[in-house]
Amino acid sequence: MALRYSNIKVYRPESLEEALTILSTRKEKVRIVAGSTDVTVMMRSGTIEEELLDLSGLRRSLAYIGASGDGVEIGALATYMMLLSNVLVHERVPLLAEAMRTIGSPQIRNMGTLVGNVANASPAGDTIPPLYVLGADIVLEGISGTRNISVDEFFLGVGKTVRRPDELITRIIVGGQPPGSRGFFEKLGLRRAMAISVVSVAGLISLDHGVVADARIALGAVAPTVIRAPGAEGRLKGEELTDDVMWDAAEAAARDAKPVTDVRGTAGYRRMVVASLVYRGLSRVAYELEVAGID
Amino acid sequence: MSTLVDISFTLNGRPVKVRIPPAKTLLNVLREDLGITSVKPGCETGECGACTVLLDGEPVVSCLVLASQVQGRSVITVEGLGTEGNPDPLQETFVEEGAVQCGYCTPGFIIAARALLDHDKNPSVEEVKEALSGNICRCGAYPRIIRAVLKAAERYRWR
Repeated sequence: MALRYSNIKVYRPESLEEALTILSTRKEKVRIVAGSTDVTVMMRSGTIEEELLDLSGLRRSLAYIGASGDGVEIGALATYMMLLSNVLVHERVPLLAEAMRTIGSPQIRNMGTLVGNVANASPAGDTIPPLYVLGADIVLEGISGTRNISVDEFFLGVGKTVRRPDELITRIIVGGQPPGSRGFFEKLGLRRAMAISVVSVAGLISLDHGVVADARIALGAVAPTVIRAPGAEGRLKGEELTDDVMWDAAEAAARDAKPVTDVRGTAGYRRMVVASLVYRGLSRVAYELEVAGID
Repeated sequence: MSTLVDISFTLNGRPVKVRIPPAKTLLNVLREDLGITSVKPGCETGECGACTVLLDGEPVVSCLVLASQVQGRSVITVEGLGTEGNPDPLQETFVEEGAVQCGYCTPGFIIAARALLDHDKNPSVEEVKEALSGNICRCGAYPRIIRAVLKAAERYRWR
């Protein structure tokens, strides 16, 4: 351990320009550090040999949360805890807040950032399914310019994204939950705190007089990237949330999933969990509607 | 071949400056360079909470914090909470309730509990459990730990 870290060079820029210049010259030789909850673990296990670009000198400009249209704009260094104690986040994207509450522990939520979770591109990243259903733009900045990439075009595979090595994700713009819509996030981990998702599911259901006008469902940890569940969404549109419809949609979601077998669960088990979590989320929405007396 | 850098921060209210490799973890800086051995190496992957410190007042696991990230910030460990003659209420109640068996996890629990009580002096049992969900006690002293935190909360309210 001692030898590993003592040989690692760390850049600590104090301005965005400086950070982007370092990225433009060091490119894939440098690994970007935001909350350091993943990078330090990788460093310890010896899986990274790159130099580090520590962004902590940019907290003043990148640790922010703001309004953007009907949604929210989240700076690269906004931690989960900052987001969870922000009124805009609870009012506009409660689904995202629900997912973030399940991440890690208080200690991890004080360090980890939403942008880091996205940059890491794990299919089990718990903020990613909510971003798929809410709609989000990932803003990439480099010295030669800025580009906005829609979240559903951002991920290429496990740990792989369209970010170029000289680009930094400076912020993410998340769409607000439409009025009258209901969101849910369900996950199965091996225990409640500090557990990586075996399967996670996010849903956003818009209803018009009790009929599903729009349904978006995203599945985590069941494919190389987070995926939408088109079969389940199609089964819900135009229907009332009856038990039969919800079970059909849940089973369709299980068919939409492309899970693998690993240490946390077999592919077959994951498919069953997808169905259970989708049904659980939908029945929560149906129950809330019944209680609220909305038809 | 390593490059050492100077890092300055506030430790338990006092300014400190160390010359260290910038990718060294805060846990190791505290233990090896500053003699603060209350922060314990447990899992060293952020899962057990034995190395918890307050960074700018909020609990973090020091095994995942890089030295370069604490430049200019405030770090508090149990050494900064109280002394033998004038202990923090949490330090008193952990002793009174026998919330310590082997003691390895204790400093991390006390720091995590202190962060909770700084925000909320009247937490429910559920809120205490949530605040301590990042800390593991392998002796299984959880019921006594929770009692100690609730009892300390009472003393914070009277202060």
